[in-house]
Parts: sequence; structure tokens; C-alpha cells
Amino acid sequence: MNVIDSHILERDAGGKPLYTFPHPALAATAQKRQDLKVRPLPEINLCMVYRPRPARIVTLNLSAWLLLEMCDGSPIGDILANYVGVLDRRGKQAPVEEADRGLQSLIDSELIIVSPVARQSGGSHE
Amino acid sequence: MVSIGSTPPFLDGYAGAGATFSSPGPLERPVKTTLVITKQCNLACRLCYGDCNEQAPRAELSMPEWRKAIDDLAANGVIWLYIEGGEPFVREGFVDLLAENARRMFLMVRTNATLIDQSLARRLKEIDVGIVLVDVWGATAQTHDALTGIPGSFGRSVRGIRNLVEAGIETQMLFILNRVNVHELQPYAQLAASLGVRTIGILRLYPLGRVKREWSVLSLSLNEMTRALDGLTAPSSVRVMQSWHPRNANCCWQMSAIDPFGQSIGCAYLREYVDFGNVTQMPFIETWNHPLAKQLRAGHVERSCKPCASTQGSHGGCRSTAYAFHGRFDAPDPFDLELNDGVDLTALPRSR
Repeated sequence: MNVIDSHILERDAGGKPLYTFPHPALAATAQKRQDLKVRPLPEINLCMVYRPRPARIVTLNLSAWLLLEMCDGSPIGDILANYVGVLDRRGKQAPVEEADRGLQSLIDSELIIVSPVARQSGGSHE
Repeated sequence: MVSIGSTPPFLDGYAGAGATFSSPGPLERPVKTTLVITKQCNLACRLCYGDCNEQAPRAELSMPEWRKAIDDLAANGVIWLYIEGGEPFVREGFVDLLAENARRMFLMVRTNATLIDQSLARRLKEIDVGIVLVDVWGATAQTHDALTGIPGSFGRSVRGIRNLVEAGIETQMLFILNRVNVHELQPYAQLAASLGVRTIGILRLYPLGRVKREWSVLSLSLNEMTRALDGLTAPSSVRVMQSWHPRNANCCWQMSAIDPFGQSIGCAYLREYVDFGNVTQMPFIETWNHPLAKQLRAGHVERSCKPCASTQGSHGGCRSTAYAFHGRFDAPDPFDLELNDGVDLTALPRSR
């Protein structure tokens, strides 16, 4: 499953990323698991994560690590926007495939918990 | 535990999703440590690197001392423990030690599995041990028991493996390739498949302990080793790990290790060649920063093997083997096809 469709991170005519993501899947929230042991390895630009229950060691590159730290319970769309924005402000390109792979790896490795957003009542009085 | 802010502090090193271990180490602090937790063992293997027996030769670290050492490791950033012996499960309190640390560290245990009954296997699963590695020296009782010195040990190890697999624990089998068991490499892979084991590790022989004294009897030539590895066709359900060229890692850059007496030895395979200090007498990090430890982590070698560097991101192969054959820690690893230079691996230099 790809959580991000390739059309989502379109860029404007100037090549800048658009920071709004209306895709419905991106309304789901992503939260970094609280029981992780995150061990930065700045010497090699990687990060090692111990995820208990079930035990697993996961090695993250900088993209995935950045995304992991941004998973604070916000909607995925906001997290992606934040990710693109942080890199953009530093003059770095953030290809959509990379963000896709990074977020997908966090989901596959069960480092983050993705929760669908509960439907709001919208003022219904039923 | 180490924590970071919302943005990795070294984002300027950003290299995209393709970033890999292209230029490893040296690490400033340890991340992974081997604990050689005991020299006691219920087997008497000819392949033993620690000269292990039923009784330890002198007082080993007590469990409180191990707890203190592990706390020190955790404080320095270690999140991964690889625990071996001897036979770890003969140590009283060992299972409790695992349980106490499973929340904060990934745990791997190397064992002969002879003591792992169904109850213990279930307990290890409950504790959340990550991987159990089981030493099995052959595909038959005849070969395995001849190498362990204990009749019936093959059956007990196989039973232990069945218990581990049944409990749902990631279980791997380790095979030290030598002249006595080389003919059983292929059936070994099939045995693993039949037991539900999905990974086997084919390991090279190291000139340590009892192996060193029987080196000329046990060691194959490099060509014989290569032929055996090339001839192996593992069942599709079995993944094969091996450490020969072109996966001839120089892993000193990431390793640390402590022996049963508290000596910091960098790597279990360096146990006879280095001593960085005792963790009961000084903080572990001081032993980590021993000049020789730093030299080994730096990965400086006289010659590098390019194919291995491209697959492992490191250079020059194993430093223990290099030292054993050449007497220099930065010498070429003779187990590497590209760096062997005609060294006869069946003849270990006497001085070492």
C-alpha cells in the first residue's frame, strides 16, 4: 500500500512544493510509538531504532528519521507538508517517492501508529 | 536513552533516501555490544573459541556486576546486546537478566539450545528476545556429537530448536565450516528448512581457544571453503548468511564486547589479542576509547577489498584473522580471495 499518491506533492510553476494535501488518506494521523529507543548515529548519517514487542532493530536513513520525529499525532498531510517545508527551507529537494518510501517504511516497521480520523458529526442533531 | 528534537541535528548531511553505510565509522559511542556472559558450558566442543568447560576457571562477573555493566552500556547509547558464552543458559539468573533489559535493548542470544525446553522457549518469547542463534555443527548426530564431545547433544539441540520455533521466536542456526563437517553443508541447509528455521549462518573458523590447538586438523584451504560455499543450494525458505568475500566485513567499526571477567575486548573474536581494560574498574566508555580500540574502529587497513567494500561498506575484512596470520591489526585478511596473497589457511603461524 502506498500512503501517498504521486500526484499529491505537486509543485507550482516555480518548482516549489505545494504545502496543502487534500487527499483523503492524508487526513489520518500518524504517531511515533512511545516505546521506541531511538539511537542516532550521526557519524554515518543514520539512525538505529529498537522497537520492542515484537523486538526488531530498524535502521533509518535521514529521510525516514526526520519523518519519524515528525509523527507527533498530526495528520499525515501536515507531516508531509512539514517534511517538504523543512527540506525546502534548507534548499534541499524532497522527491515525492522518497517521502512515500520513508513513511511506508515507518508503517511497515510498525514504528508509527496510523489512525483514521473519526468522522465529525458536522452539527448533526440526529 | 538518547533522544533528539523534532529535526535531526545533522540534517545538513542529508543525502536522500539512498543513504547507506557507504562510509562507516568510526562511531563516537557504542551502539551494539557482545556480552560473553560465561565460560561455563555443558558441552565440550572442539570448535570452542573460549576453552569453555562445566566450571569457570575463575570468578566471573556476578549478575549484579553484569547489571551494572549493562546500565553503563545503556547510558552510553547501546541498544543492542548479543549475548553468548559458554552456554548462557547455565548461568543462574540469566533469564531474569534478559527480562530486565528487553524493554530497552534488542536481545540476541547464542546458545547450543540443549537446555531450552518448551517452558523456557515460551518464557523467552514472553520476554521478547529478538533472535536466538543456535550452534549446530552438522546435519547428523554423528558429526555434531563428534564435534561437541557429548553423545546425544545433537538430539537435544534439535529439540531445543523445535521448541524455539514452536514458540514463535526468530531462530537461526550457526554452522562453523571446517574439515569435519564440510560434507554436510548441503544437508544442513535442508535440516534447517525441515525444522522451520529460516536463516542459517555459515561461519568461518577463527584461530582461538581449542580451535587454535587443532587448527591444522580442522581448517580447510580457502579454495575448499569457496567450493563448499559455491556448491551450496539452500532451500527457498532458507536465507544463508556468510562472511566470506565479497561479504567480508570489517565490523570493528561498530563492535564492542565484554568477556566473562569484565575485560573489554572490542569483539568476541579479538578475545585473545586485545585488552582495553576492565569494566569493573573503569567506566566502559574509557575502554571504548582505548587507543587500539579507536584504531580498530577507524578501519585503517593496508589494503582494501573493493568488492567487499561495495557490499559491506567497510574494508579489509576481519581484524582478528588478519592479526592471527600476519601479526598486524591493519594487515590483509587472508580469508578474503582478493587479499589472500597465497597464504595457506591450513597452517596457522606458530607465534600466534
